[in-house]
Amino acid sequence: MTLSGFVNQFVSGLTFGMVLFLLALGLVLIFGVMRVVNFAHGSLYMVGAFTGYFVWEWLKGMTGSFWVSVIVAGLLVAALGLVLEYMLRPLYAREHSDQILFTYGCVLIIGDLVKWLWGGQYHSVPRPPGFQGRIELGGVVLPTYYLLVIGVGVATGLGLWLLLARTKLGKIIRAAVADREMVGILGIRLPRLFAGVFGIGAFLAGAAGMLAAPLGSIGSGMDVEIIVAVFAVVIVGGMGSFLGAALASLIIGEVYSFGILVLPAAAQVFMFLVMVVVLVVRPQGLIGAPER
Amino acid sequence: MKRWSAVAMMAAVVVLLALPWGVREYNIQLANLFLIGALFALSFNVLFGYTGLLSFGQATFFGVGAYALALLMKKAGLSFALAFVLSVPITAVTAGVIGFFCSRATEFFFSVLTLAFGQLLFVVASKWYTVTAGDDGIQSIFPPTALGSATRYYYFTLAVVALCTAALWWIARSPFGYTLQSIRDNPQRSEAIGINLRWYRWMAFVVSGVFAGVAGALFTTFNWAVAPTELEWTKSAEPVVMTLLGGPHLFGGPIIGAAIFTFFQFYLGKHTLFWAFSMGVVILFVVRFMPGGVGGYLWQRVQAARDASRKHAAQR
Repeated sequence: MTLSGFVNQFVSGLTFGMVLFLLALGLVLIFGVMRVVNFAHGSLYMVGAFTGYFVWEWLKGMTGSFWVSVIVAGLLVAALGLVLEYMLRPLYAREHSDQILFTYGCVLIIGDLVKWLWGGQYHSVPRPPGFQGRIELGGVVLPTYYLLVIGVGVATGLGLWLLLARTKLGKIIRAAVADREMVGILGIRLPRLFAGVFGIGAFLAGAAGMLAAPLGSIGSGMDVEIIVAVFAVVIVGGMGSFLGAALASLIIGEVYSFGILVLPAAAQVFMFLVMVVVLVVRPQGLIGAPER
Repeated sequence: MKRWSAVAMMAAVVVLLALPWGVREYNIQLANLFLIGALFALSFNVLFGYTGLLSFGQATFFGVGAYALALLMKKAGLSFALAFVLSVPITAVTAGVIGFFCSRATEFFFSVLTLAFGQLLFVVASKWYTVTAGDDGIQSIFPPTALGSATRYYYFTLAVVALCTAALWWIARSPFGYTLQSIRDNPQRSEAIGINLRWYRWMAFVVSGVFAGVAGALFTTFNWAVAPTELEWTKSAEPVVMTLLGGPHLFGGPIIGAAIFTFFQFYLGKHTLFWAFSMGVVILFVVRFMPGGVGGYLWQRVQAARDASRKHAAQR
C-alpha cells in the first residue's frame, strides 16, 4: 500500500469515525443524565437521513439546500426524540430492562414505519456544492467533503465540550450525571432537563444521518447497522465518558476503514474483535470508571 | 395451586395430542410452529426470567442449530437422526464461546453484546457463500420419510418439545436453577455467599443457547429450508415478544406467549409490512401497561380468587 493510499484510507476512517462520534455523543449524554440506553439511536439516525433526503429533494436547486436539509432533519428528529422521551417517562422508575425494551420496541416500530413511508429502495445524495472536489494536501489527494465532515465532528465535539464546561446548562447536566435526584431537590426541573438532553442527542443523530448521506447510501436497514457500530464505540470507550467516545470513535472508524481492505464483505468482523478484546482486557472501556 | 397447574398442563397435553384429528393440515403446521416458538421462548427465558439477562441475540443459536442440521445433512451427508443429535453439541460450543464474552457483561451491556454477536453471525451466514449459500439459504432439507407427513412431523416436534420443556422445568427447580434466580434477584448478595456469578451466567447462557438450537433444528426440517433471516435481529425479537406477552415470571409464561404470538402471526400475516411494527407495539404496550404479561395477569387472578375463598372459609 502506498503512503498516499494509506493516508486516504485513514482519512476515510476518520470521517466514518466522526459520524459515529456524533451518534455516540448523544448516546453517552442520554445515558449519563437519564441512565437509559437508547437502542433507537440508530433509528433516529435513519429517520434523519430519510427526512433530510426528502427535504433536500423538495428544495432541489436552492442554494444551500443541503445545509438546510441537515438542520431540518436534525430538528425533525429532535421533535421525534421529544415524543420518545415523553413516552419513556412512566418507565424511569422501573427496572433498566423495561427501558431497554421500550427503546428496542421503538427500533422495530420505526424500522417498519420508515419502510412503509418511504419504501425499501436506496437513495443517494450527492456531495453539496463547494465540497464535490478533491484537494491536494502534502502530495495526498483527499475529497473535500471528508474534511468537512471531520471539521463538523470536531466542531460539534468542541461545542458540546464548551457547553458542558462553560455554561450554566452544562453545569446542570454535569451535576445531573453525578446525582440527578440531588439536582431535582435543588430545584432544577428534571423533566425539562431530560427532554432537553434527549432532544440534543436526537438532533445530533438526525443531523448526522443527513450529513453522512453523501458518504454512502440511504436505505432501510441502516439503523441496526449503525447502532451496532455505535455500541462498539461506547463499549470500547466506556459508556460514561465523552473523551472515551471520541477516542473509540476514531479507533472503530479506522478499524472499519482498514478492515474493508482485508475483508470487503465483512469489515464489521474487525470491529467486533476490537470490542471483544477491550471487553476481556478492560471491561469498563478504555476510559471509564471501573465496576460498571 | 399445584392442582391448578397440573390440571392446566394435563388439558394442554390432551389437546396437543388430539389436535391432528380435529383440524386441517394447515392448522397442524400452525400448531407445529407454536411448539417450536414455545421452546424458543422458553430458552430465552432461561436468561431473561431466571437469570435477569436480557438477550437481543437469541436467534443466533436458533440459527446455529438450524444451519448445523442443514449443513450436516446437506454437506456432510449425515442422516437426519445423527445430524439432529450432533447439532446439539455444535450449538453448545457456539454458545460457550459467545457466552464466554457476553457473560462478562450485565444489564444493557449484555443486551448490546448479544445483539452485536447476533449481527456478526448474521453477516457470516449471509455473506459466506461457499458454506452457507449466503442470502439464498439452503433448500430441500427434508425430514426422513418416517416423519414425512405434517401429522408425523408434528408428533415428532411435540415429543422433542415436551422432553425439552420437562428438562427445562427440572433445571428451573434444581439447585442450579435456584442459584440463577438468586443471581437475578440480588447479584451482590449471591456473590457474597460465594456464588461465582460469571460462571453461572455463562452456564445459563449455554443452556439457553442449546435449547434455542434444538428449536432451530426442529424448524429447519419443518420448513425444509434455512435462510439467514433465521439469524436476523428481528428473529431475536420473537422470543422477547412471546415471553413478555406470556409473562417472564412464570415457567409457562413463554408458552402462553408463543400461543398468542402464533395466533396473531396467522391473522396479521408474518409477511405483511407491519409485522415488526406490530411486535414493537406489543412490546411497548406490555412493558407499559401489563408488566407481568397475560400469564402474570391470570396468575394474579387465580391467586386473588384463592385468597378470597380462603377468607370466605375462615369467616365461616
